[in-house]
Parts: sequence; C-alpha cells; structure tokens
Amino acid sequence: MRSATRISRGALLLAVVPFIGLDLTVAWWDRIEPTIAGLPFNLAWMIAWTALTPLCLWGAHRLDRRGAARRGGGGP
Amino acid sequence: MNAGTVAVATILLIVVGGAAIGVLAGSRRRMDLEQWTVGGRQFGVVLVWLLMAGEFYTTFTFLGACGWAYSRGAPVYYVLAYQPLCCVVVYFLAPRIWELGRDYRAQTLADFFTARFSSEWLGALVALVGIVFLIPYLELQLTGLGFIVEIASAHSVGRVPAMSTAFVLVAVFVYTSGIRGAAWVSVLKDALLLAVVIAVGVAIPERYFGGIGPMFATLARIAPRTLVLPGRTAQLGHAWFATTVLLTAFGAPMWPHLFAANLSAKSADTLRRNAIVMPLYGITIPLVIFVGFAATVVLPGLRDGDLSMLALVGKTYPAWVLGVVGGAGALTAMVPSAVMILSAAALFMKNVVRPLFAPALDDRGVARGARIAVFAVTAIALGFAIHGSSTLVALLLIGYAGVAQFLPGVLLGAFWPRTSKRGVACGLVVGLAIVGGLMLSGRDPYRGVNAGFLGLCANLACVLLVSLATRAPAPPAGARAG
Repeated sequence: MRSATRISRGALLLAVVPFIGLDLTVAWWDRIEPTIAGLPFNLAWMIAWTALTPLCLWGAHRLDRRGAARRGGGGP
Repeated sequence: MNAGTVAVATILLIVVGGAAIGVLAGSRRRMDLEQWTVGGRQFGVVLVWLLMAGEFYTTFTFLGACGWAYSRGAPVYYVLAYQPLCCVVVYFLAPRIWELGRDYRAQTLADFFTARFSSEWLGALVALVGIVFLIPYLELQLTGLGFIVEIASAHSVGRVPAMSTAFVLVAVFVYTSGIRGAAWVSVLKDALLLAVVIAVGVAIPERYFGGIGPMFATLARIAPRTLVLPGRTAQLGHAWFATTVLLTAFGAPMWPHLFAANLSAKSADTLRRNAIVMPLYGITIPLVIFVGFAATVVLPGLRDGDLSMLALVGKTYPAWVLGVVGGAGALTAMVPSAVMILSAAALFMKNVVRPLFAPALDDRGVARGARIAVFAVTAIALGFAIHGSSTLVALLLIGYAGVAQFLPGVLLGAFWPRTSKRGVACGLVVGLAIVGGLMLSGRDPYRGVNAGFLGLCANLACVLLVSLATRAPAPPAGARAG
C-alpha cells in the first residue's frame, strides 16, 4: 500500500517546472509587450500555464504509475 | 412585475433550489460522524472535484478578484498564479494525507495532528487556531452574500434578511447532509457560475470596447502601469508576488475545510487525478479579471472596488440577468460556507470538547453535538456579520498566512518520521507570533516580502531544529494498523 503514494524523482522534477514558470521567473515575464491574441504578455503567460500545469501533472502521474507498477513486480 | 421583483424572484429560486439539492443529497443515508464529516470516504473523482472547486471558488474569487483588478490592477494576477501551483502541492501532499488519514481514522485536520503526534493537546491547539481563523472567513462570505443580494435585488432586499435567510438554509442542509450536501449544491453553483462568468467576461469587453484585445489596447494606452506589477499599489512588486504565490499555494490546502475534503476521497489516486484537472477550472478567473479592468474605464471612481462586478452588470443588463448573477453569487458564498461551518463544528466537538471536557463521549455523542454546533457556529458568524467587528477584519487579514502555519506539521509529519510534537508546537507558536506581529502592526509586506512567508520560514526552521534536538517520537499506533 505504501507504494501507492511513493513519489518518483522524475515526477518531482516535473512538479518544479510550473513553479519556475509561474513564480520564480515573474520579473522576466511581467510585461505588456509583445501582446498575444490581444492579451498583455504577462496575462497570456499565466493563462498558458493553466493548461501547461495539468500537462506537467499528467506526466508526473504517468511516471508515478510506472514506478508503482515496477515496484509491484507487475502485479496489482 | 418591476425590475426589483424579477431579480428577487430569480435569486430566491436559485438559492432555495440549491438548498433543496443539498438536503436531498443526504436524505437517504444514515448520518453517522464518518458519513457526515468525510462522506464515508467514498467520493469518486467527480464529487471530489465538485467539492474542492466548490471550496476554492469563494465570494473572494468572484467579487474580490474583480475588485482587486479594479482597485489594484496587476497584483490580482497572484490569484491566477497560485491556483495551478496549489494543485501541484495537492497532487503530492493529498494522497499521503489521505493514506495517513485512513490509517488514523482522521475526520478533521486536528485529528491528523492528534494521531500523528499522539497528543490531544496539540490536536486541541490546532482545532482552536483553525476555528479562530474559520469564523472571520465565514463572516466574509456572509458579508459578501449580503452585498450581492442587496445590490442584485436593486435594494429591495436588505443585507440582514438576505444573510439570515441564506444561512439558515445553509445550516439546514449541513445539518441533514453534511459534506455530501455541499458537494451536490456545488453542481448548481458551478454550472451557474460558469455560465455567468463566461457571459459577462466576454460580453462586457465586447460591449464597451469591441473585444478583449481592444480593451487591453485602451488600457495600455491610458493606464499602462496598472497592467504590470506593482499596478496601482506601491508595495506589491515582484518579491511580494513570488512570496505571496508560494505562501498561498502551500498554505491554502491547510484550511481545515480543504484539508478535510481530501479525506472524503475513495482512494489516493482519486485525489491525484483530481489535482491534474483542477487547474483547468481556473480558466474562469481571467474572465472575472476582465470585468474588473473594464470597470476601471466604464465606471471609474467607485467607492468600493469589490462591488465593481455587480455595478457593471447592473449598468449593462436587464434585471433578470442581475438576478442570475446574484443567485450564482449567493451560492458561491453558501457552498464554501457550508464546509467551513461543518469543519468548525466538527473541530469544536471532536477535538476541543471531547478531549478536554468530555472524554467519555462516544462517536455518536460527538456527531449529535457537532450537528447542533452547526447552528451555533452559523449564529455566531451571522452575529458578527450583522454587527461588524474590527477584530474580525484583523483576523481575516491574517487568515491565509495563519493557516499556512499548519504546513510544517502536516508536510514534515507526513514525510519525516523524526518530526516531534514539541517541534510542531514551537513552530506553530513562533509562526503565528511573527504573522500576527507583522500584520497587525501594518508591516505586511515586510521589506517587500509577504509576512506569512517569513512566518512560515521561521516555523519550518523551528520544527526542524527542535525535532532534531528532541528524542525521535515513537510511531503512532494507527500507523502500524495500516
């Protein structure tokens, strides 16, 4: 049962990506130009991450499941 | 029928309909403590999603985000940034909380502390701190609901009758259906809110500017500085943004009602899959922000920015639309409030009253007491909302930063066996003292950094150091059983 919540290193790395994108790099993307589809750059950037974050988590989930399957020896 | 009557009828229909769903949701189940507080730990992805989205999307997101865009400008973007990151935190933390919660048979945040650190005193401390921060948050929802209904009904319904009616309904469905009721009312709330937000967020910029792009072009010409940090403020710059987003992303899941939502899932993987799709819900927030930005040009000089959404909708649309917005807004207050009331009542009976005053009380007695406490909590929040209180305003300011101080205990408790109860208690007290000291003396942000974030760093350091200095605790009894 413990393996159900084991976190793989790859998953953790994927989790750091949205933090870099949305938090640590704010000084870089906080500007109006270039506008994207009429939106200021900072707003467009954050909206993009509402879709990219689920992608990262989906990838993390795949890695976690693969890790759990390998540890479980293929059995459930 | 005149305009006011149409709006009032629409609001009433929505609010009563929502409450009816809530009562029906639990009417065919036997409500023991486990069923009432955590839905028998049987919720699948859909119900967990409805419950969590219902709790996250409060009146603040609805009126407050619009108000921040109106009166502060770009700093409102922190809401957009913290919500996806919060889901990342939940993805990793929630399955572990769920697993330990199942082993400990935990139904509240304080149960987790009591079981993990084998200390009823620590549990009671956590419960009391949790309640102290929940009450003002609840009062905020009530006040928001009062404003929404008063304005949406064109002042034909006063704040006090609106708040009282809505909250009696909330108390009734919390009493009968517990957490399951809140999850099901969320169906109506989310459907309406989505419709409203998409309608006004797209239509209002279209109507006044000819589209979202032209609206931002106008803003970039007349007020470019509002579109980047620190916006219309002096202090809310990049350091504030980065630290506030971190604090809120890690701190929000520590709200007792959000923590308890994790326990209602039927498996750890349910929570993971929920966390993956949750950020998509946030796509509605930019639309709310658009309305706030539009209002800065169309309706400049409003006294209270939080009312900009309702003012602009009222100026633009016929009465029944305002009624739908009012009804959706009222539900947006009622759903999170339901879970907050439930959490406060359960914390009070199970983690304060039983261990300290009535150790002989069985689970059935706790359940009965907690369900009665629902009406007491509701009455207290209602009393504060009607009479107003400056202490509560101060507590509310501290709210997010305050509950974030539970994080080291939960996070380290979940993943680091050496974490000791003394360490957690010291960290909690130090963190709260720093947060209270800085925020109540008007020093947040402190040198540009979020005060809650500073408290959290000190708290974490305390827990680590004290835990390392004290003897490693024996593993709690529940952990072996799982």
